[in-house]
Amino acid sequence: MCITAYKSYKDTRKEIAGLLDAELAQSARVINAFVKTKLLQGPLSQHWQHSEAVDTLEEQSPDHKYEKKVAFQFWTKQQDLLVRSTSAPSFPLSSWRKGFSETLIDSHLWHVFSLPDDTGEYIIHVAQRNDIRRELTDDISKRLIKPLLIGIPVLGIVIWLIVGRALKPINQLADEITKRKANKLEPLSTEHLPKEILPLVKAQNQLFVQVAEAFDKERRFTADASHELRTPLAGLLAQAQVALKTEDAQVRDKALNHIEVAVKRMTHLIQQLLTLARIDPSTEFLATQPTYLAVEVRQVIASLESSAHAKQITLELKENPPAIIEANPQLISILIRNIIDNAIQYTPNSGSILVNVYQQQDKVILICEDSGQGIDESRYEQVLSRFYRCVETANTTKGSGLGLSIVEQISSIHSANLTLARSQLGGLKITVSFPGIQLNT
Amino acid sequence: MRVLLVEDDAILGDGLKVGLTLEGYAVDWIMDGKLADEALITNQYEAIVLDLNLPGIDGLEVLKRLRKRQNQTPVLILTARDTIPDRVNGLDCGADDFVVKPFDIQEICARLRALVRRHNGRSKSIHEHQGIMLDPSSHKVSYNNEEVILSQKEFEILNFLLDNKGRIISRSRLEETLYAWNSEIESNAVEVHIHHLRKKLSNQAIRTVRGVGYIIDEC
Repeated sequence: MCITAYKSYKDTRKEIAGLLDAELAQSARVINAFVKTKLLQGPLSQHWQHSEAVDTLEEQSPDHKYEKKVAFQFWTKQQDLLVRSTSAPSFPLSSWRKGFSETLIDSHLWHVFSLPDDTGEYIIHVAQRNDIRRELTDDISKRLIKPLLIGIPVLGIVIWLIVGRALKPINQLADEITKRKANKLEPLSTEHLPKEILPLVKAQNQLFVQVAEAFDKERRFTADASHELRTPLAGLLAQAQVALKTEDAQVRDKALNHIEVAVKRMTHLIQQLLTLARIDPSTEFLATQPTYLAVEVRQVIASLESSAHAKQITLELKENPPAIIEANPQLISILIRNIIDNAIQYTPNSGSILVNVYQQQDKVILICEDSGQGIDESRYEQVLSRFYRCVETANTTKGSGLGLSIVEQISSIHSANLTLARSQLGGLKITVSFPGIQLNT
Repeated sequence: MRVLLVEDDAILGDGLKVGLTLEGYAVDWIMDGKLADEALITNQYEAIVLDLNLPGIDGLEVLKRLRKRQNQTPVLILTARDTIPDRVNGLDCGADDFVVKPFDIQEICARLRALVRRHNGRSKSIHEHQGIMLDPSSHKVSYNNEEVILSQKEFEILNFLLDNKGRIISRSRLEETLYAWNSEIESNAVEVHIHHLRKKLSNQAIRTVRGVGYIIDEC
């Protein structure tokens, strides 16, 4: 600020000097013009006698405090001082030469402008004391600096207040976010927010919604899982207590059998839960490769053949021509296993299961149908949800209520379409339609 | 004490039915909400053990309908979801108590006893009446400070009459309390049990109201 003030002081001085110099020159020219008009009317001596001339302007008292500090002289060629102002000395203010000069008189510095006549008959000196300039400059500088000295701090405070006010919503927002607990995911308020940060807050809120949904899904899953695990556990405990308490060997044996069944059922449930947990996250990093769908189906059928055989179920695969999909082989294997295992579970003894793999335009279709009881059309959506088990079969078949949700999950990871329908065999017909790929060979 | 058990899981339901029967309860077991609702319209129970996730009608709905019919039978809910909202919702629907799975059969028995006791307006767990002392939790009975050995059915009849002290209880009501569905009832069983009870305690302990039923008079 000091540098600015000093620089503006210097500038002011220079400007004022220039201005006053111009004024000096102007005054000289005015006098000259006046003298010239007089000269047209006759020789100079006619107007001004030397003796009177010197004192002409003496009586007039100065009208302005600066007047004394302004002077002029009118010299003729003969070195006669024809007229001068009261403030002017009686010796020449400068040499006989046009232009600006400086003279020291009575320890005062005078700025002089000299204007000689074209003919060299006379010369006009107009002078001005340096103090005027100093006073003017100081005065102007003071007037300039005073508001500057007061104004800048005031301005500073005002800017500080304005910026503080403008940043207040942002600070409040930052506070609100900092104070939040990780599980508090309500949207941030968008009221009283400047429009510059509104999109930011809106984006943030959108993220909150997504995270909350993910949280919610997780919570529901945990709740469902705990429900599904607690009920068989309670059954286990009750049966174990019966076995301990009873004195009837028959009752004890029955209870122990129940315990065995319950443990098997829970093992299956836990396996399915782990499968679901494994395929749930990080689908974007899923490694896929061209996979012969029928090869995977054949492998699954081979491993499930014995359980189908135990129920005398005919398990048949139809395939034409070899169809390839882009898939993760492990997941596809889990998908096929769940579909076929499901079919075996819900198909009565001596039933039949038909698996069909074929290419249809740009789709690869996997169909599995059985001669079981099927599912009522109104419940197709429900059976895909986690832990849903059909009432009629809930206690007679070992199931976790997770098989079809696993199938759906894996289907959606592979952008495949899962549909349920009634089979011509009488039972359920599951169709998974994968996007097919063309091999260039 | 006759209890309705509504539980759709085969293994848990069976375990509870057998376990409670071993503890002396007469248990009717139903696996479906709709059937439970119907059973509650036609039968009387001392208590109901109700699971929430049921096929047919949801457990809470069964409970709501029961209370709508002004039936105040104590209801103990079996739940796998132990969150506050679940409990609040259940209590608002008229449940008396909650047990979170998995549970001990002993705990179910203790809670059922407490529920029935509260339902009958008593805070003390032990019955005391004219020298008769009956402790429902230990199944011990004494008369004039001497222990009396009662059969399971005799104990149930005495306990039920003491629970309903001052009220006449019909023979068929007593039979309902003693026997679950499918169990055989001998035609004069209740009279025989009452006869034994009078012999083991005192002749005045239980009064017969001819043509109506039995009563233990309030002092």
